[in-house]
Amino acid sequence: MVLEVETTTLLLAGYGLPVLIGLLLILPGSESIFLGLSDRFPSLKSRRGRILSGLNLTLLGGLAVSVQTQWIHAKVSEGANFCASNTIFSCDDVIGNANYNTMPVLDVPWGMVGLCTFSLLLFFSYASSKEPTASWVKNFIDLGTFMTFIGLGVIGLLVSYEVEMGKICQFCTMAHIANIVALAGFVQLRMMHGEKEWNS
Amino acid sequence: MKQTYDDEASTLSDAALKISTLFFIGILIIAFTTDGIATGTEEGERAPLLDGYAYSGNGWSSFDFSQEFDTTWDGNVTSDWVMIEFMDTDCPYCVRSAELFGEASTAFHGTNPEWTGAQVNFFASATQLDIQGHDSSRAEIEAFRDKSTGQECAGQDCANRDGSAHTLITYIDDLDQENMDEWGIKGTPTYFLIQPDGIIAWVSNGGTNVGDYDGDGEQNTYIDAILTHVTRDQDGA
Repeated sequence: MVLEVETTTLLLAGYGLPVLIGLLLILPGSESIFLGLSDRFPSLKSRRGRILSGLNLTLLGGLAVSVQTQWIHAKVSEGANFCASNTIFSCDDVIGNANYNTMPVLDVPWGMVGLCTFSLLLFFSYASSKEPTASWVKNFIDLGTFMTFIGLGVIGLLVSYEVEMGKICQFCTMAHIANIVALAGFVQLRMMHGEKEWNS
Repeated sequence: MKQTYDDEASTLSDAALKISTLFFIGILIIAFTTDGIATGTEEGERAPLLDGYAYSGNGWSSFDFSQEFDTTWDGNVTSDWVMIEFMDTDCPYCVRSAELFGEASTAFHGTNPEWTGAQVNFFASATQLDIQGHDSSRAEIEAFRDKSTGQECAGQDCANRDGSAHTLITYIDDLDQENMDEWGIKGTPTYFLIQPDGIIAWVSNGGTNVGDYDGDGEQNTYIDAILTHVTRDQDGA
């Protein structure tokens, strides 16, 4: 195996934490949880600030986990012993399967697709959080919503591959969760933008 | 002259710079900690998969090409190499080369006491080229391999092709040309010598010129490639 089980668990916890905190920030009614931190981080005082912070954290987690999946892809191609696993949870078996591990037509590894997508989404989110009233923010939010919505289709395709193989890649699943959480964040921002709450 | 300033531009460039930095840090981590090998059909690349059904003399069965390889191979002589020929049973050049291909499969097999190198397992991926008169079938592939009568190979009875039956060669059904397309095969016969770890060591068309190693007067044949590349027993070499 490319990674030991203990290392995998630790890494998953590391990637999962920002996604989980991001989800809590994005969820409506979560202001009380972060009340104590709002003096240290003033952006957490407003609903818009919490969602944007949650998005930034979630997308950062998604970007990091994409680097991990691309790393496994490259490691497996070196000739690591990736067929030894007999457990249902095996990123080596999923990412090492040459029939499914690249994007159809373009032949780009899925990890690289995730890395580029999350980088772009993080740019949209981070730039919007720095200048929420700028003229381009609406476009960035719309693009972010569109990309994460398309991501649902990609997730569906990749999950169908996993079902066909009878294996689950935990890192891939974490990236899928990050995309879904990000979609929730972008949708809420889209509904808020232009409303009174946005400028308050 | 009046200058126009965009106050929001610094935010965008600042964000782009920071996210680009994160992106390239990710790329650098991958680049410095892995030594990835691309999948392809050039020498030094990992051989693509071969899908389909195979015939080794006892009926057609599902074929898993990855089972032939040991990805942790460390250069030892005990792991088997793979020689694969992309061919068409109606291609005259493939029919003519059948005798030598059959002899080579015996000469480089572990049961030959005179061969001191690693065993080379021979495969033939049999396709049906889009040429008039090239009408192949599984029965024809069986007849070509077994040298049995009743099927026509390049205008003659398959039983009359030169050489003996290919008892040590596994034939893969590629009549739909799926594997041929995947491997980017331009014509037949095309040969690939593959290391035990699945990395292509030599390709017949455009590959490394290994010269005339066996002194048969022909440069760069798959026999020369096997003699040049395949791991040999130090004592017996």
